[in-house]
Amino acid sequence: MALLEIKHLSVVLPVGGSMRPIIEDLSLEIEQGQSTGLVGESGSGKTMTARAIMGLLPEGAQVTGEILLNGQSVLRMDRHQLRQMRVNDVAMIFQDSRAHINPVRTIGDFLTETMIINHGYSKRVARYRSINLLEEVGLPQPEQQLRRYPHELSGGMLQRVMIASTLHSGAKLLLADEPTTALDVSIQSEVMALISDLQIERSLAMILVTHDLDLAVSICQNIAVLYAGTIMEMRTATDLYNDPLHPYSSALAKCRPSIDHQSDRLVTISGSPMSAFDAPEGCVFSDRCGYAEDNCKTERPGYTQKVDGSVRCHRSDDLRGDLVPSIRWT
Amino acid sequence: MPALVLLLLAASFIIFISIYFAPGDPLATLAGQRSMPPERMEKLQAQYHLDKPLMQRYFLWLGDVVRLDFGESISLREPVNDRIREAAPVTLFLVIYAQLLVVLIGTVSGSIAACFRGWPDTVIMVATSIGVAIPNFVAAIILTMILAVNLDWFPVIGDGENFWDRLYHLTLPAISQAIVASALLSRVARSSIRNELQNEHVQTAIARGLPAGLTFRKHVLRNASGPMLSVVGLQVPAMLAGTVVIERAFDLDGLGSLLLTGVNSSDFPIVQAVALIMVTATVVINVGVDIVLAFLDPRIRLDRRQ
Amino acid sequence: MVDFRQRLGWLGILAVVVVVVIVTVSLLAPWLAPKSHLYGELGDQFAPLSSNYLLGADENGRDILSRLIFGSRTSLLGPLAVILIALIVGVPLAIASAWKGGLSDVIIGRFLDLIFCFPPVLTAALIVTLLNHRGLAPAVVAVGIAYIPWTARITRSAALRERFLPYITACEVQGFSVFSICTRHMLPNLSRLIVAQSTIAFGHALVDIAALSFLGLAIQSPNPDWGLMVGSTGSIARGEYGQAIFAGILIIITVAAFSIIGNRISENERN
Repeated sequence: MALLEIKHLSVVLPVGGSMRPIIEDLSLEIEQGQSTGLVGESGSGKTMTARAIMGLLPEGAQVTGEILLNGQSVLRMDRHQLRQMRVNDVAMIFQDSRAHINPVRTIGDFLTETMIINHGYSKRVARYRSINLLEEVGLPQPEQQLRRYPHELSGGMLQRVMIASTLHSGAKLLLADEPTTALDVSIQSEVMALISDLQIERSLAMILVTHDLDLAVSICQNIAVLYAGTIMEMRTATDLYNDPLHPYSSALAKCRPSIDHQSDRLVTISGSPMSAFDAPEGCVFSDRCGYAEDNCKTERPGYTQKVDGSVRCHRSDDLRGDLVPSIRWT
Repeated sequence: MPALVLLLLAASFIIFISIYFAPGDPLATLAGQRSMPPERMEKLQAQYHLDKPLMQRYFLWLGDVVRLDFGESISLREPVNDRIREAAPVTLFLVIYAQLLVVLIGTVSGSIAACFRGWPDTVIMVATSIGVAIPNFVAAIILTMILAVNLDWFPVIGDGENFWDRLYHLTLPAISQAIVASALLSRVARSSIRNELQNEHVQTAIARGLPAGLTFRKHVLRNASGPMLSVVGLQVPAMLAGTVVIERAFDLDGLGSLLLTGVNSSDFPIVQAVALIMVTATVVINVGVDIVLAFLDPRIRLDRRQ
Repeated sequence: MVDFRQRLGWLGILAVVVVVVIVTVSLLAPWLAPKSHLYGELGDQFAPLSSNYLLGADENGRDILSRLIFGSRTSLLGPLAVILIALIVGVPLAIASAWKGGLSDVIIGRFLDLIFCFPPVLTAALIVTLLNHRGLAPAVVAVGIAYIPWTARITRSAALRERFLPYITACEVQGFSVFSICTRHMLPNLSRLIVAQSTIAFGHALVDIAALSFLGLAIQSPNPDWGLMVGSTGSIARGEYGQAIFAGILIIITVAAFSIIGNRISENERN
């Protein structure tokens, strides 16, 4: 049985005065110990998906479909069960750690509070465990860090603290929501490497939410490409990068300029990324797709399973082989 | 710290020098325009060091005051200090009682209004809008009329004998004093808590499975308490001044009544003494509030040090 | 007119109506009051509500309604004087403080802190004792002084925001004198805020002066004043709460009206 199964998830949120769809018919499966990159641009619904898994959707959200964690339905959990899930089964790393850690409390308090309250450790044991965790994530002088306040630490160090806090609970699924986007470029790869190492060491399943296709491909085993609230393509990382089945994935790959190839013009996708509620009739990508035909604009394609992955496109069989980017990654 | 001392010195200097703004001879003002036998006049003159130059007078006076020697009351012929020692506990009790009510009512109603949208919020908003407009003396009269005279639930006047009796007697006074301040605190609490609820670190706490009650107390309320404390601090001079009105309304023997007695009998030593106490209390409490604010938010502490 | 209705809301309109009514009553008092507000018939002590005494009579046989009507005059005049004092002293101090910055700002700030230590009751107590004079004047002075820090603080923070805006810098560069920049350019932009805050302060000042009258430090009998009437020991000691309640309710309504109007103005200015 898969660790996490999302089946035909749809989420509609109240925005302004109206109800707007953010996620439409999203299906996904994660096995134990597997890392999956959820790649999408702004408005694609990737963060909402992560929040839906944790039961953290905003008030007033209308949800249909199913999210099964270890066979249990998250959407139907009551408050106690949700708490249990958040304590024992799932852990989340947030994007901007400075905003996500209480500024008036010490780092030590941040790390120990879940240990003391959720798992019943004593203060001394919790402190000891926290020092160990800080060492694991590579923070120097862990005893001193415990006494510091968030504003005294750099962004990179705070993110490591955030990562450390997710490690002790024994959670089997890690959700990382753009964990390095808010960091300085020089720190990004260090922190990302840390997350990846820890995930592999502890055989954690991980969902990495990111807009960076290259990053996801280098870290994760599987990639799910999101656009306008639904998954366009889901395959293993290597397969997706070398032989994309969907025009959007192919376009994303082509858009990234390569350091060893000079081009006269940067490749772009015409138009701008959109959310589910702005999407046109038919295939959501149809108005920006270079390969769109008439029925693409009227009929929404179904999510079809292929031999080596899943794709949502009318023409994926025809376009096989045409979508390969000229610059390959091996 | 030095700013505090400077402020106190300046305020005390104003109170000291105010007597010289009265028309005529300071001695006559001190005597309250009464005619007194020469020995008493001499005693008064010595007590206030009126034969010495001005600045020396000030420092001598300051020396007396710091030792809590406020001289002798003209009208009552007894040391002012004695009267103050009798009156202070009542006022202290009243102010603390009222302030506790303010914090309790303000915080609880503000929290409810912030967390629950819909009718609880509307009801509380309306109540606070009305509450802010009810001055303490009007509240005193209305409450007395309804609860004390008509329903006989509470005593009309007086300040009680022992602790529990005092609590009983000072309930209506404390409530009258607390209405406006708790309405203000409720509004500030509501907006401050609403703001804090939207902060991401609250999301983190929930995502980590911390129980809702604890999250609210430790992460929301604690972080939101800064503005709330500031408002409470700003209310302090008004509270102290308010006791004068409340004590008159309920015939309580506190410092406020003492002040009025002093004014009504032209007894400057009493007026001066109570004025000094009030001003000192105001300054000390404001400094106390600043200290607690720094304690609540470590970021302020760091700024100060830099 | 439609614009007003949108901006004020029905509550705001109600508040304006209340204020207009009270101001009108105070101006037309001599023609509106049915009986004398100063003298009464001793035999009519505590007369009940009747066609003769619409709201009853007080402990001296005076008509309560007439006293309430005439009392509106001091209730409006007092706060007006207070606000004027606070503005005339506070606003220039605040603008100077914000403009100069540095040491002057600190000194003025300390000076304001000093005034802030003296609540109106205290200052009034000192003035009354030393000058041996009670009445509206000492009360207005005492409350007026107490409100200076408040107007100064609000004006100062607004002035600080304006100080470095481009249009001010443009004036400086063109060589206008500081005085003319402050009066002809900065002040008008601050005026909306000042008006809004002054309206709210008007209500508070009303309460403070009424409190002083309640204590017997301001308006003296037989002159009528709402605060004085709330504190009428002659009636209350004998269980007659009539004039106290009526006067009290009038105070609440007037203060609430000014608060609402002031809040609406400041909301609109922010938008």
